[in-house]
Amino acid sequence: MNKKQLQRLYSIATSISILVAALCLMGACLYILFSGHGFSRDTVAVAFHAVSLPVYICPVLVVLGFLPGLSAPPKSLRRGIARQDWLILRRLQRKADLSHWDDARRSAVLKERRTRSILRGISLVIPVIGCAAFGGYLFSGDRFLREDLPGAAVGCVMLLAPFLMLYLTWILFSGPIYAESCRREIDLLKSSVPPGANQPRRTGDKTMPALRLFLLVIAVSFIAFGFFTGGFRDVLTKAVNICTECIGLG
Amino acid sequence: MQLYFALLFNANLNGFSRGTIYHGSGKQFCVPGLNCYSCPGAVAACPLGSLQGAFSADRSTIFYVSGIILMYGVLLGRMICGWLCPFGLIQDLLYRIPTPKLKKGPLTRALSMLKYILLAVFVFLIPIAYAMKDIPLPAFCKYICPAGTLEGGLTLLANEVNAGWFSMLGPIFTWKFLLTVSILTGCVFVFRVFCRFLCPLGALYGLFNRVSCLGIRLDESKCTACGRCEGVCRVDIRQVGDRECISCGECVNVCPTKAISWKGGTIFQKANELAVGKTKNAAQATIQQRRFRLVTRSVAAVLMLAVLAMSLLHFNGDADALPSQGCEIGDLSISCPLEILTARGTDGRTIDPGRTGQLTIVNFWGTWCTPCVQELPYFDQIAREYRGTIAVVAIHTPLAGETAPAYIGKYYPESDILFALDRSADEAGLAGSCYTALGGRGTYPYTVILDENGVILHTVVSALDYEGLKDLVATCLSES
Repeated sequence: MNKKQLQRLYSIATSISILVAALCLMGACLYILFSGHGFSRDTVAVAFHAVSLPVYICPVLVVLGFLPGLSAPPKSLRRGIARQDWLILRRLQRKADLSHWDDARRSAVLKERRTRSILRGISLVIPVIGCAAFGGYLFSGDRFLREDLPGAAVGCVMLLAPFLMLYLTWILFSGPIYAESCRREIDLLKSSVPPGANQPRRTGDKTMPALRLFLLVIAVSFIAFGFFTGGFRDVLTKAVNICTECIGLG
Repeated sequence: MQLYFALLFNANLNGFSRGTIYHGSGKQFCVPGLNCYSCPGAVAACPLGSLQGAFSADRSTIFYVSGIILMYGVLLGRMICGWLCPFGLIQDLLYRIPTPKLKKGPLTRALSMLKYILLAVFVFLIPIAYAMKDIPLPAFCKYICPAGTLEGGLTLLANEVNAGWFSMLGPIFTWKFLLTVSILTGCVFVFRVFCRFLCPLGALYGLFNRVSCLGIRLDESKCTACGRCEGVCRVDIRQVGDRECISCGECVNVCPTKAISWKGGTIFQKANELAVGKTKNAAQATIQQRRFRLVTRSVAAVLMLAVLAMSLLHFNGDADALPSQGCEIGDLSISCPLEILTARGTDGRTIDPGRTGQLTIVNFWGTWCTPCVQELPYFDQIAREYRGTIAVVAIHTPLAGETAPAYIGKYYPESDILFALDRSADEAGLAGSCYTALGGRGTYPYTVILDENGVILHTVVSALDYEGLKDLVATCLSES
């Protein structure tokens, strides 16, 4: 076995041990919850002892793996440069200046952009309607609060499920059309834009420092107002007292 | 740097050994990153938890917390995620474990929108909806945040001083434990699972990435669109410096045209990248620049180490920490005269919970505490059912006591509960309060049952439902 094969074997073994350890821990927690005995220091100790072997193997493997020769992952698993049409299109669009093009080519590019705008618009409508429906359900005062949060969560899922299905169906349908439109525009832009030409005008050089200063002044004003009217006391109250359910102890 | 800031924000190392949290005034300020304030080591507040709590608090609190988050966002943007966040450090360390890794792609980019949904729903909508009904509910902290479970819940449970807390664990803890283990396991195989897909604080800071004073900047006039920066980046950016960028800086080194740089001046640049300026001799300028950078970095390192050392000394020598144990079951409770609280405030009358001459249920609560306000109706019902037999005393926390009269007037105007305010903490600190004297260790709600002689019969560190409370009262009545 050569070094690459050893590294691959090691990484697979480590992955499996981590997954098994995680599943064992989760299984132990679920067992305690559904066993009816309730949580106590003793029951947790017994449950953890039952799954201790895979949980201990995991860090031992990790530590051993940092010995020379095993710590570097195999090269074939390292990330490579991803080719993504949408990103290439954005870069080409930044460099292109359509005002110098002939009418036919320019209208072809604009047509592709219009197509994608329509697809994006439709893609936005469905989630907006879904969010509006969800917001209406959430703020329908008594119903939401009377049902307690788990019940409300189930209600929200039932409400959102049709919108989600519709949205996924639309994405499956429109995705290939969108991708094809991107590729057509890339072909049009590549044929017309020489490398390095038509540099985009840099905007925001003067407005950005002013915007930063404005936002900083707002931030400092808010802090000062909150501080001198006692707002910090509520932060202190929450922070120095342990609300047990807020950290999941419930 | 991440390790440094993790240590700085969690400098109260004594808290881990004592099994309690820091109670000092440092917690009125927020740290930039996600650091649960229930972590025993935390010396300041979490901005996300404070934001959720602010919706049910006074209006000025919202301004205060929003101002802090806005300031951090404008100054640092998501550089906080890459350099300052303790939970980000945990994720980075887990990712270093050599296993097969999941590459970024369309799926991860789609998942990166999930954190905005969590921000809108769990940080804003749900807390605001509950706040309208005077119920403080930090929904993200309670149902999702793995930092709270890992840094707060598990570290406190691990201390044997808090062995009694295991009895309060139930479905919420199980859900959060499963979620935390899943996220930490995912961090081994996917870079920064929580930061990229789930963190609402990162989502907030990401909105300021373009305008932030520090971070990554792309000079489009030098960019040749080679794609190397996006290839080497491990998060789901569309362009260097956008809202997903955590300013880790890996793209700076690979850009062939040096189009990517750090905002904030030349301090991050290498000597041979800096402008020569007016000096004719380029080599001499390079040496000068290198010397300047060495001195600057040395001074900065010394200052940072000094700050860390001072923080560790200050926070670990804090005398306001809770004593390891107050009264226990079977002990005679210490006399604690408390001011009676009504809808019109205090009127000078006092009550001593251990000297009522009846079986007394003492409940420590706060208007800022969700389970406290949710269980108070049960105490009200019990007080009515057992009128004349038992006394129910509800003592509001020393802090935020000014909110209690209005709450009592609105929801319990004719209640049989005796509301009280513990002012002893104002003079003696939390360590000298009635809460601590009766065995409280910082958790709310906390219920103590005293017999007619003031001896402690039972203590409960979790919220109670009506049946549980009624069983407890019946047991105590039969015992006494």
